[in-house]
Amino acid sequence: MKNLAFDNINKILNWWNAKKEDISTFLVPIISIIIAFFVAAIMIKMTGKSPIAAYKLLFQGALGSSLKEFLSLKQAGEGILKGAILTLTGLSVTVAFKAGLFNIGAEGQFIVGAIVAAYFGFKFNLPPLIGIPLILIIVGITSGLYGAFAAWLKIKRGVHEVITTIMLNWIAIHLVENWIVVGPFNILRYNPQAVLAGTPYISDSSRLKPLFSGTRLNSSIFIAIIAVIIIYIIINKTILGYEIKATGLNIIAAKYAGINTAKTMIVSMFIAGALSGISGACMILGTEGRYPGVFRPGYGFDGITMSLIGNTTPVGTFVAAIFFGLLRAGATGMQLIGIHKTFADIIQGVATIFVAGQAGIKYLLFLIGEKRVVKPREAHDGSY
Amino acid sequence: MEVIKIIISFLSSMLQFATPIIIAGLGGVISENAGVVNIALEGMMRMGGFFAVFGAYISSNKIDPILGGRDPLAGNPWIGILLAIIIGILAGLLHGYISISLKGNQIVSAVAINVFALGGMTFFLERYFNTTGHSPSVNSFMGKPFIPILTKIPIIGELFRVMNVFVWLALILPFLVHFYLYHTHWGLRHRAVGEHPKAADTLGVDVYKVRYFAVIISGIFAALAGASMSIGQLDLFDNHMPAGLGFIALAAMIFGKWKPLGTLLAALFFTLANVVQIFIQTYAPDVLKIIPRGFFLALPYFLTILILAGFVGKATAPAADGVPYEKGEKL
Repeated sequence: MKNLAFDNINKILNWWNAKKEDISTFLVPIISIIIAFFVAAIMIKMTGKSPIAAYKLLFQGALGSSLKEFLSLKQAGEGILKGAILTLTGLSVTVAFKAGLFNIGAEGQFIVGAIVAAYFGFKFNLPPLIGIPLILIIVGITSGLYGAFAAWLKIKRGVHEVITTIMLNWIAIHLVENWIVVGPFNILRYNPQAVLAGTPYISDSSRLKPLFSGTRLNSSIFIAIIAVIIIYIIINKTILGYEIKATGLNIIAAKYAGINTAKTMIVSMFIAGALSGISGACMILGTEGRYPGVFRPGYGFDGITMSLIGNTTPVGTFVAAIFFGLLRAGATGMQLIGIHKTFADIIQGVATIFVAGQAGIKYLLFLIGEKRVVKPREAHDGSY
Repeated sequence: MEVIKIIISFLSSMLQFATPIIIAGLGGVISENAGVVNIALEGMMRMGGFFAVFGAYISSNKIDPILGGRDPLAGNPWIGILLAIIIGILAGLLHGYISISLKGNQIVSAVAINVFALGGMTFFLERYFNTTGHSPSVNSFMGKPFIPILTKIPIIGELFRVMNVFVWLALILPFLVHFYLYHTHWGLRHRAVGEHPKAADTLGVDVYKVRYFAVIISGIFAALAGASMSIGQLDLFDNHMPAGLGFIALAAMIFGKWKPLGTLLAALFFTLANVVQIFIQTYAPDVLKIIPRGFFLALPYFLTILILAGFVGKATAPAADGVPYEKGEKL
């Protein structure tokens, strides 16, 4: 009997040792999120409030207080809507990642998409089934070009895309907020009596309407799901996806293999920009209805964390985005006991810190079933 | 006389606005010259800004005669600076631990710190000051010249009136950092670690130690830059702080070609664009109808892209910037 138990443990350990690379990759984000919840719980405790009560409110705020309420999507709709927006910016970062590029510019592309959507949403008055896709296509092209510009600068002039995309973010923010929205496309130009800041309202036919009453959830979620499927297929099933991944893994090898890496990088940043832009468009056409005076929901920056916590895969990004979308919506519920909704940022930030330092978590995971603690090193063959 | 007054007020606005950008930009210079990218300047500034106010607040042990509770104006702003430095060290250590010891992605780590600072400081603001707008006014360095005697000088004395401890720091630090990086053997090692860590390692420089030192100093500078906004320019922490100044500092560092004196000039140049815009708004608002404000505000970022792309001079980052160093790794 004793032997049998020992054999079983050994079997499990062998299985673990064979698979631990893959499993850890999957486990790291989950462990990071769990740690983040603990850290946040300590912070709540510090304020003299009960973490359990807070998390209960968070949970109810995210999903609803009963199964029936959850299924009616009255409460969860808000989180899923946020998740849809986050999915699109997250995917944007993921696609760029696959090509070895870091798209910090999702925020700027998001804003470009938002203002373009606000403009054409206002100008167009077409049947929704023609008008809305048309707006999304125009947004995709403009934001896509905005994203591709960073890739072009990298290829032609050797500028690191992290820096350019950060700069392009602020260029977009300042030009839109302090020029377009207050100047040429201000509501006062069209309606001198208006007391609102920002741009005029989009036409009714351009709006993404709520799917059912009592919620703000609209067809953004379908746009997001379609995007996940398309990006999944592009990355995993097409030649373009193969070229993107090859460029991202080893650009020199990809070049030698005859891949046009410059084109691949530009195309992937174009797709990335388009996705972020469509995300911004979804917000304008869905919940906002116009471009408000100041519009910095930060979903572009959040996209980076969605992608990272989702292990930079399309499906992972989607899961992470829906999770954090629900978390964000739920955090509003915690305001009942005086915890601000930016609390979600704390969990997101801490989780990302642990994902960034994932070597530490992996090291601890690898210790399981490992007899030697020291990582075996390759023998030095004397050559440099 | 009127013209001189305007010039003086122009210069003093420039000094005030440039201060956080210079100090944070130098933090970037120190860190990136040792090979660690620090785009967490924004988040570190935010933490420093909050904890500076917090330090100035908790050091007060007087009771507010009207409202009860702690009298926020009776504290000591130096405690605020101290607390900002401590939080800067901690933030630097965190970024360093992930990017140096764990060899994680430095940009991911920095993004995480920025996100955390965003939510975390709002959380603390609500916890300690019961608001998500801005903290109460605390005892600060706002409007307190560091060398009061200089303000007695006729005409230019006005200029020294705005020069509090942070402004002086911003004017002196670039030269100190320049001296350190280019005229001491520690500075030589520091730059060697950023350019070619392997070679530095072979010659007996402890690459990890230098990088930790650099990231921690960078954290301190960024936190002080944040403090210079909250208890230098103002006397409270506003939840919008630092409103993207961390990224302008990053741009200034690049525009200054990763050099301390270059960063100083770049920061002054960037502020010029902003101050010109403010002055135009006050004295010649009609100009803004032709050239919108947004153009002035976007100009620094646009110029940074131009200079990076080599259209205006050429900026090159230290060779090993952003590359984690693994001891014993083959080249």
